[in-house]
Amino acid sequence: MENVITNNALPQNKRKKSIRLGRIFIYLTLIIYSLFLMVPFYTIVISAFTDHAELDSALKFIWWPETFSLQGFKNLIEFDVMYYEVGIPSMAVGFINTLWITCLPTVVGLFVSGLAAYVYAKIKLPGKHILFAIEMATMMIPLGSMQVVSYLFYNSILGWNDTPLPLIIPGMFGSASLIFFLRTYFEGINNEILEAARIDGKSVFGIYFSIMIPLAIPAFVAQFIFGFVGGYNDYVGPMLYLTGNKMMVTLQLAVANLQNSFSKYPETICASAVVSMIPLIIIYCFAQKLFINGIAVGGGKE
Amino acid sequence: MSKKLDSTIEGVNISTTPNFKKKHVWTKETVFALVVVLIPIIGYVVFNGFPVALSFGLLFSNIEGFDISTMTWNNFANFTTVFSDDRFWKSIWITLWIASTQLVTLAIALVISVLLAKKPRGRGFFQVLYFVPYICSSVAVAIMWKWVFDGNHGLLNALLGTKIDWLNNTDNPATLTWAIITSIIWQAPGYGIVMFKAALDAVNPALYEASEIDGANSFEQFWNITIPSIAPTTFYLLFTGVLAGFTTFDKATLMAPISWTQTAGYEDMGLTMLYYSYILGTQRMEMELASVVSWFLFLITMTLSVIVMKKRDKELEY
Repeated sequence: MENVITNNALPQNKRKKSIRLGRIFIYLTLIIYSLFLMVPFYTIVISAFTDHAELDSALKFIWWPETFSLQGFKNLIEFDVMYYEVGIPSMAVGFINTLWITCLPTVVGLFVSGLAAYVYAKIKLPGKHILFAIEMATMMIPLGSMQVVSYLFYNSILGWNDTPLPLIIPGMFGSASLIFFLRTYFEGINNEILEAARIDGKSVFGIYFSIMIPLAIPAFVAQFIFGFVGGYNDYVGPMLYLTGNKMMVTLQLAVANLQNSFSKYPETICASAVVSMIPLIIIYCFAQKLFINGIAVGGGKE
Repeated sequence: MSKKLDSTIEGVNISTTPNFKKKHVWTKETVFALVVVLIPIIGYVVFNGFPVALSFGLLFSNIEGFDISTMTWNNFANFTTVFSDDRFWKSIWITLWIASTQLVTLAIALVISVLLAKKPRGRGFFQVLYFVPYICSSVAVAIMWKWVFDGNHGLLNALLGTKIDWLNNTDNPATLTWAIITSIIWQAPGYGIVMFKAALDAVNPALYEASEIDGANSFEQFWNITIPSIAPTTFYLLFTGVLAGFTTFDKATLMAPISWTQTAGYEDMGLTMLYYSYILGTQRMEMELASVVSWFLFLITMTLSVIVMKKRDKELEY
């Protein structure tokens, strides 16, 4: 009898031990990965606050500076070329430009895509299945490789070079992935509400505006975030079309340009990167769920 | 626009009258609906179709600068020029190299999400943390990693006790490509972690319970239940990841900025295909050559896309 009990107890102990070891392994991996993600942030933040002279004379990375300084951040204003010329630092100009260059196509594109999605989901229209198939087929063609050669079209045929139009106008026509996503969402909306509104004499547009949009706000918000983050972080588009127009710099372009003008001032470059990230990080802290859902949903075209 | 709207509001009365005929009547409402669904298609044709068609025409043409009126047919001279260009083949090699490391990104995302699915304490915190790199801009990420890899003040040299200029490494130029890859691997898994989380949450817990009764250990469970359940997500992430890898451009231009000799960083080690297309097209103003490179890349990505479509159709059949 005694034997049986000890025999039973042993594996259980072992099992508990292995579970505990498993937990330790999990935490260790998660923490190491966290460090891998966070340490690069630390390096630019701490260097941004390091005194220029100390940084310049140091022969290796400074984990903790002896003299803290805000000069790196001040340089972004005081020694900015655009601040001399027009009185506004280039990062501020970039931030304002980024806001409207990003929001305009995102909002209009969402509105237009939503309208099309509403028709696909709820309105009788002959041949709409064919149109929808065409619309979905466009999603399957990967056009990432064409972004450079498209330059010729915008530059020579449309003459939109050095204007933000190539970044704004195409987005305003909506996109297949937006239509696909919003259509799925709209299909879940009860037909009876729509019928009632129809009987009340509301037009297609009126129903879209007063019923569909309010009911689908979460879907629109998720997609807006996806579009906004994409536009805010975009570098290639502004680099192709806006490098020749100083007053039209976007935030990312401004930060990228500062790397050349402050090449001897690493603390200023680090400061510019930190400042450029702050707005999104702050919003992210307050609305992580919205962000994560928005980007998962917006990227997931399945 | 506003005129169109007014007319549809007037058209409501017509459309609400019952329609007994089988044949569809074109009311103002259906016309409005048609216009609405055509807008995105027209936008696609104009802003994607035309540029692509133009660059297709360029494949077989000569053009002076950006002036399309100078376009002249030149048979297949552009192809001969590009295919006999060493830099073109180098760019393919570097692009394949970068694209293949998407497997690492995928593996990291998978491991981390499987560990998070074990519901350790602080799971929510980790999830929020792991997504942060994904919302950072390429510009900021490039600055960050250039700083880590910096020869004088870099963290990496401090950790290793070395004094290597990783981004301009005369002994081993490949470290520049590795630096670009590191910055991608640092940023990209956030998306996969979110997608895998959704897929793992959707696995039926009854499957695990049943297998536990059958005496399966956790590795067997992972292999026989988890992996098959999340296979579609894995496949999708692999596809989007490899596609992104093939079209790597912004990280490469930022970490290996174009030099005055128009090389992509030291020894051209940052030269992805899209980057080369950019150098040829906008820096050397040889858009016809840039088109050849871009179309070559397009054929690769399109092939990938077709494979994915075929596979999905097969899945739908079953």
